Amino acid sequence: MNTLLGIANLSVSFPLSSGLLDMFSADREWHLRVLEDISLDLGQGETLGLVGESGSGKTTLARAVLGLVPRSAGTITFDGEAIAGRSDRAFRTMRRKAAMMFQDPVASLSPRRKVGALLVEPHIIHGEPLIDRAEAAARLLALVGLPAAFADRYPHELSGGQARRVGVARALALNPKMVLADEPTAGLDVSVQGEILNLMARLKGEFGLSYIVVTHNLALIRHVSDRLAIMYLGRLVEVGATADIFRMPRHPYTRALLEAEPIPDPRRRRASLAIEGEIPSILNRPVGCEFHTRCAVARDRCRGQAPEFTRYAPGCAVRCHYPLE
Amino acid sequence: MTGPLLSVRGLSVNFRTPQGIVRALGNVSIQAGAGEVVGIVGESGCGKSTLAAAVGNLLPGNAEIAAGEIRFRDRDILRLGSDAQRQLRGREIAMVFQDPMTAFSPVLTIGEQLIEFQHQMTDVDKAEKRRRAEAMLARVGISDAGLRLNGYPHEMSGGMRQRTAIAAALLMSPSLLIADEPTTALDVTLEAQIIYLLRTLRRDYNGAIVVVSHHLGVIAELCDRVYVMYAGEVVESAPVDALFHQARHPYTRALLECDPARLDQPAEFLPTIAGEIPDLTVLPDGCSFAPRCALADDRCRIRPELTSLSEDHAARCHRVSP
Amino acid sequence: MSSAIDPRQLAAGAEPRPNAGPLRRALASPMGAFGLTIVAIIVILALFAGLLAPYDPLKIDVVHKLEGPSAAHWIGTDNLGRDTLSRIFYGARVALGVACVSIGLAMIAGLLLGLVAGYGPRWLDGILVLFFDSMSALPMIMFALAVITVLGPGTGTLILVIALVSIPGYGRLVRAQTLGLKRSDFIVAERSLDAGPARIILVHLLPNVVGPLIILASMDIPVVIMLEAGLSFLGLGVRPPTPSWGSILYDGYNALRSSTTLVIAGGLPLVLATLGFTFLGEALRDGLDPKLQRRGLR
Repeated sequence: MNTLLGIANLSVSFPLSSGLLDMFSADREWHLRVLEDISLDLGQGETLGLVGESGSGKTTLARAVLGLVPRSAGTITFDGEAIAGRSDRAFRTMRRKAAMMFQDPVASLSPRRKVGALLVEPHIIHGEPLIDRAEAAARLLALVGLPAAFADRYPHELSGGQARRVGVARALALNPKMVLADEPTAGLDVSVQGEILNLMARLKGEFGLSYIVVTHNLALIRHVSDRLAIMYLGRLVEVGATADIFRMPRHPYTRALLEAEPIPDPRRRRASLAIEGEIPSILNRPVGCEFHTRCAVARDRCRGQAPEFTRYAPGCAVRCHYPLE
Repeated sequence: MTGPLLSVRGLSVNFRTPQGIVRALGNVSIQAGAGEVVGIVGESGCGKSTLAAAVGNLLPGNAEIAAGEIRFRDRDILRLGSDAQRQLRGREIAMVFQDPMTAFSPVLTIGEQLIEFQHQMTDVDKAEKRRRAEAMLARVGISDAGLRLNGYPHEMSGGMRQRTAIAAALLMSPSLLIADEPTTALDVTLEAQIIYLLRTLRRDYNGAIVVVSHHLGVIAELCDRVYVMYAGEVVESAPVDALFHQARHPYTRALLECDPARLDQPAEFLPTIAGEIPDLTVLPDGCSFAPRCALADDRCRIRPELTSLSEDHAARCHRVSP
Repeated sequence: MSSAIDPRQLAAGAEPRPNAGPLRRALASPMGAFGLTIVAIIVILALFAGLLAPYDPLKIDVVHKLEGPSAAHWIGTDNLGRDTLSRIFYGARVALGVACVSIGLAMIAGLLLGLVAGYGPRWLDGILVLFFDSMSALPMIMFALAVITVLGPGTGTLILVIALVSIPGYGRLVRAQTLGLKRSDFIVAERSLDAGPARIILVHLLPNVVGPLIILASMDIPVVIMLEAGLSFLGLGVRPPTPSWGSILYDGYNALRSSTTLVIAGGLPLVLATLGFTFLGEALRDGLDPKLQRRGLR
């Protein structure tokens, strides 16, 4: 499988404060390290699930890939070309070939523009020829199973599911190679979340897409992803094939996540608590392994020495001194 | 006391909106006995939160109760005066919401608020109220409870805030606790902790707990008995095991099928329920689920009644029989 | 997948949902209707003063000076025998003209500066905020007096002064709105499509900040009308003999011993105009939020 997207040693950090007084202060080392040393590949035609709890940096990672959040270190290679620099210009080609779906489908559509105008906007921005705007909008709406009349609606007149579909249509406007989907089913009812995922699966086949799906929903991502990347506090802690991770998680955090998911079967109620404590503040990262404060199997070494991200098989890696067997 | 602790009978609630009258609840009856955890599950717009709000006397101004009664300890609380209702809500009925931030004022310390919540206990002095607050915080698993009392809500993490909200709800030892989506705003590891907390609390709490959730997993983990709601009606009620293993109503079955967590093997395409929730301003005449139901036939043009299938299992469908 | 959409949805799609304009919604409230009626009357008077006024407002007729209401002069004449009704009609033209032009100028300038401050680079934001702050730190009347001393009194000066002192208010509002919208999902979504700053500002930010700006402006019109009248009353605004409600009031003030008609004739339109524009502005504020009408049910 060819690599479509390569991320190597990517870090994102923000200066903590930029008030006027900071210019005069000697200590300018205060940075919020949101992402730390992320290395991750996405193969052509692959669906990668990016999983983590709030504050894990999963959304920031997706945004950094498109240059919407400036990276402070690391390289991004897309479709054989390295992205040089952090400017909007450097990301121009990539934003033409990769599209993003946002977590809040209504809020991510410009509120005073009609759906039709929003759908043809990618063409206009990238100077793609467009013979008939109405026809192009209708074609995109048909692609996601919406009637052409929706082109005349405003975003706030759409239901959550309909706005999702418009988001999908907009992402596909320029026949992208890759789609980054941030929580594609957030806010949808169980009975309709499958519709969006099935639609995405169908379009993946039709257009030869590769997906990065950002989510906290393990039950769902299990059915749609080929590989998983688990994040904790801005770092990758485990990467591997979805089936393998569900069968045998190697990182204690991954296992805790899997076990914390409530099971919709009263006969399989959990007797004990999978994980205690809360995610530490990113301002106050634990020394050593960042998960040791909540880890059930942490030992002395974990409190002092940060584990490396170790590959144990092709495409599989875990950041743990004592991976589970 | 005879009868169950809480008994809602034939409750109908309408909302006046610019689009017309919305029938949020139609002829809903539920019961909750002491020591029981009752789940109310359904998708958005099914009326589960309206039901919780009606019991908690928290309906918005444009809502009107068209019919029915809400009996608590054998008294219809809808017929009580507003003072008596308020008193009941402060002392006997407590609520926990999805967003724990809404339960607290941002400008007062946690301690001040937890003391204020006990204002109906006129025979207890402030120091004692503070001790009670501290003990309750410790009981819901907050470390350094004494220090936390001096802190403000924004200094707490989401999980701690929800624990504190539960502590606040339990301060007056209410006999009915209503938890409306108590874990929806939380991450999965914290959700597990809150579920665990609610489970430990019920062990030495002999009131009734009503858990409202859209999440089948949360319901399965917590509840003894479950009501499934659709379009403002209860469509099925059953003990939790029967509901998850012998569901009878087509909607309940479809809902369970859609939950990806119930599929043992990875599926390429996920099951869905075609169609959308009916517009509650113009309800269909017959069964409200019929337009989306795979089994619907001519009979379904007439509104089905709740059919009793066994002692504690009932479904609102023409196609079920005991 | 397409089968997942049921026929009812298609029907709803074919027929756009009722979406009344902000004006219609504003009018639905009694206060809004009252405000709009008064404003409409004032606008009609201003536009058609030439047709509606019974006399030339400048025509002096000393013989009939300071007369009370009569069949010939419905609300009497002023100290130079000019017809007060005609002067009020023409005064409406001056009041509205000054208000609209000066607020229009301030709105355009405030909009541009606010958008640039909110979306542009940080250093530019710093400079613009400093400008807004120092402008609003100046006491308005003192600033007006200073400008009038330099440029001389007159309608043009008046408009310039009012526009200048109004810019910071509009600029700040637009800047605050822009800062809030800048991080919102739809702007990030536009950036992910590689939309440039010009497109984001003009196509996506502008339409979203104009609404609140119009509301603020409509609330400002009565303030400006009062200001114009006040400065004209002091002889610093519109130059005589051009009729202004302020100068009518001033003439009435001087003639107060002989007649109260003139003071009332100058004051009443001011009060009515202030009320009318305020009510209308408030109704518009409620009507302009497109989300408000759909927030019926949670």
